[in-house]
Amino acid sequence: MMHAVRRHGPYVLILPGFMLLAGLFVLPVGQLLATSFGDPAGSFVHYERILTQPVYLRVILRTLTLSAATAALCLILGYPLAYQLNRSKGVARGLILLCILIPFWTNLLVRSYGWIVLLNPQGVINGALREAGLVESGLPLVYNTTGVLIGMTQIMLPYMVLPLAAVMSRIDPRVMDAARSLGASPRAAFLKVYVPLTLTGALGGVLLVFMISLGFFVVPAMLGGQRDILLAQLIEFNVNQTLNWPFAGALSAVLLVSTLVLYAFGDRFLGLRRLWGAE
Amino acid sequence: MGNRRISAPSSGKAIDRRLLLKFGGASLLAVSAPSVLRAQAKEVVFASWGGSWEAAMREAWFKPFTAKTGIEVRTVQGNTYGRVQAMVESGRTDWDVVEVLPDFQWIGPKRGLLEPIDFNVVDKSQIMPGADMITEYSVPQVLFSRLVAYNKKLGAGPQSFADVFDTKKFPGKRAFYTKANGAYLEAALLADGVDPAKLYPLDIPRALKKLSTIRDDIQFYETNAQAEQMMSDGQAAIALTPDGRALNARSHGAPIDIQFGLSFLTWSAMVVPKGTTRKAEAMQLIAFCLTREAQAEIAKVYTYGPVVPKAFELLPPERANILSGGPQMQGKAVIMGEKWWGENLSGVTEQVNAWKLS
Amino acid sequence: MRRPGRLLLGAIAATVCVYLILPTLIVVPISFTKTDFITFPPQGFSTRWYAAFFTRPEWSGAFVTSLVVATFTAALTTVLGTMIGLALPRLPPRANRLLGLFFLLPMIVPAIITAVALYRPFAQIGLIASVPGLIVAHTILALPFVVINVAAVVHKLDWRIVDAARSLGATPAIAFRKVTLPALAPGIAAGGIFAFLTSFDEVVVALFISGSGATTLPVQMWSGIRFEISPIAAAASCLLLLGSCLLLALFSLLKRT
Repeated sequence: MMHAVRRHGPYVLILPGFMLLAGLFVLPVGQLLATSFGDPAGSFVHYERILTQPVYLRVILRTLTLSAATAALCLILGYPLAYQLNRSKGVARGLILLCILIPFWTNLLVRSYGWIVLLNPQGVINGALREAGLVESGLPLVYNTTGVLIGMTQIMLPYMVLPLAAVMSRIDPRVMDAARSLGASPRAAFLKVYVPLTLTGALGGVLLVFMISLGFFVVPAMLGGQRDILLAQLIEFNVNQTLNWPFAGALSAVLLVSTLVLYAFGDRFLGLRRLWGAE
Repeated sequence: MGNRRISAPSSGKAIDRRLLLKFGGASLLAVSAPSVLRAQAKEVVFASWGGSWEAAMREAWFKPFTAKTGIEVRTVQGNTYGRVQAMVESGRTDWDVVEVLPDFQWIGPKRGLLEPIDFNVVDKSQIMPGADMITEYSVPQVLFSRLVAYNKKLGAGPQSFADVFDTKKFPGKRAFYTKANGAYLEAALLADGVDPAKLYPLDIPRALKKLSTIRDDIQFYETNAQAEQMMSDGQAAIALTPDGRALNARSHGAPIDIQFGLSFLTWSAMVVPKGTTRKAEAMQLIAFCLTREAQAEIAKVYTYGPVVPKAFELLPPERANILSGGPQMQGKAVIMGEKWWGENLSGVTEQVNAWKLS
Repeated sequence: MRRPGRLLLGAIAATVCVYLILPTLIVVPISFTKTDFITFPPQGFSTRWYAAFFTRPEWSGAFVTSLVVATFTAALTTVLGTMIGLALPRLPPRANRLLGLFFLLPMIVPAIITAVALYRPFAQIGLIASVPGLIVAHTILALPFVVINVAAVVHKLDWRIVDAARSLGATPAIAFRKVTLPALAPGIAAGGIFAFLTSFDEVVVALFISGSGATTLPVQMWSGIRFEISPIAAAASCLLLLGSCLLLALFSLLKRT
């Protein structure tokens, strides 16, 4: 008996958590996906509907473009910030870290609510612009795609900056010195040496942001407008409004497969697990 | 169900063993589940939309009901259809009365989720007739409408739905509810000259074509709070919004007027999820809410119209005038084809979403 | 980099910082407004919305529910996650990799799918609209964070000190309690804080499975914001923000030790 425990010790330790996830997470997700194939009219009717009704392809396309745009914006804003974070010291570094970590640890709803307060036509930003005489009526900054992008980018930015800064901190500063001493201009040294060294981190960050954005539900629902119909909202609609679980299952399958494929790719080629802090 | 059979007069035979088992099971449940325990202290659970509406119901309906019957009304929020389904299908119904939008009057029974209403307890003779308001499984709760509210700078405002779609005559954004059954498809068809009596089944392609003519001027809203905001800050020149929200915005100083003649009348309904153990209490509560007095009380504290026409007699005329189903709307309001919506929401939503994304 | 370049970089970084922090902090002044509506700049100074938060049962109740759920979630995930985090590195590489991925799944699967998937089985076993149901769901969602944090410290653990304790006569149990556990404590605690926060912040899954006396604060905020734009949501936001900052401080203290 003791022998068995020692030999299988690690597995025994894992067992309770494994049972919990297997029984109350993996199995239910599997069941949800299974219902999508269970229609008497044929196993694939729900998938046919997704492929033949133009609206679903459009929603999928919309989900992909919004996520891609979020990832791109995160890279554009995140790269300089990560760079600055990495070369700052003392108080400046602490301040930057606070600006990244406080939002990161703050509830999504709080931040979406904050954006509504800031961006709505009577809000803080439009008020300031009107005060300054720059605009007459409010700019449409929220309840449209602009609002979704502003909100999603802010929410996803820490996922880009933190891993990227970690990658940058591992770069030996002497590499840059060496490039300079070999006659490279600062710009060339940066572009030819520094950027390539951070490329995996940057791509990993982009992939991570893109992947998480695909499943966003709260932010588009709160900040979006008529064109911001994403997959997650359709899943919710089919469950709560029309009680069409099999179709919700089919839409879930599309979202889940896309997410898992992206994850597998990132895990294999970009060290996603390490970026996410898992390893 | 088991409890009811026990309280029925015994036929003198030995107690059915299955019954005993059920009863035993029930008492075991009572020990483990606090909600069942509480139920024995005479309680009924009402699943509501929450917020200030729930507060109004508590004052106008639940407190007097408890005072009269001794049955406490406990409210819960999150009254989604999916929840009702999950609850019923798992055999653990712990809601007794649910307020829902009328499409559920048909969606619910189709999936076997509702108990029939006991019309021996609930008096349906006083309820406004027609338009599928009463079904075997549901009764209307209150009337409300989606109506046209417009910014005061538009002068006398739109006089017809054609005006609502005329952005030259009345420039500015139109705020419509984002869901397909937010009445804008109906409005588009009426603006396009469809006879109100022949509105249903809706000609969706025709409606979308009409909507396309003002596409860039449409601003869809996701929540009613947003609609109020748009009316208050002048973001929307014309809004098709729940009457209560327009009235609320106006009384809080929003620069809007309301066109009661351009309105779509609908209602909310009360249903009882299948398998409740407190069906008798649920029916009592529903019956109470549908009395003339209760209907007048709720209409005094919240801007919904009574579904019992005689309740209007108990209201001061200035109040009656602003309510759905009241004198200002008589003969003008278009009644929403809720039964049609109950059957077509999913398909129409697909078409509308496709249009939105095109 | 030359000076103008540095200045430009600094300016960009500062702007991005403002962009990050602004929507988080804006709720603070809003929450102290006197008015019924959200106005900026806020008019007057009053704590009435905080009073409303703590006296209105739907808000204070949700706050308590959230605290209870998050505490139990943190406790459960800490125990389960520590066991897993301890075991994973001792598995053969292939099993380690596969099971490692398995325990990350709740983090990878989009929340909306988890929410919809849990809905029916949870209803069947009576976990919908109950505090235990929320705890179970959040334990599933938060488990990866504890596993990650614990596995990280286990990875760095010097097993020789454990062996040393054993060779000095400590039983496995004592060696674990006196040597292994203290060495792992910071990682475990960090995981626990993360789990607490995950539960306290979670919206989507809670939206589906809470209800009837088991409504969490984020769910109450969600319906509050959607039903009426009132400053009470700003007060709630501030309290959430305060909580996050406290946890963050605790977390960084732990990381430092």
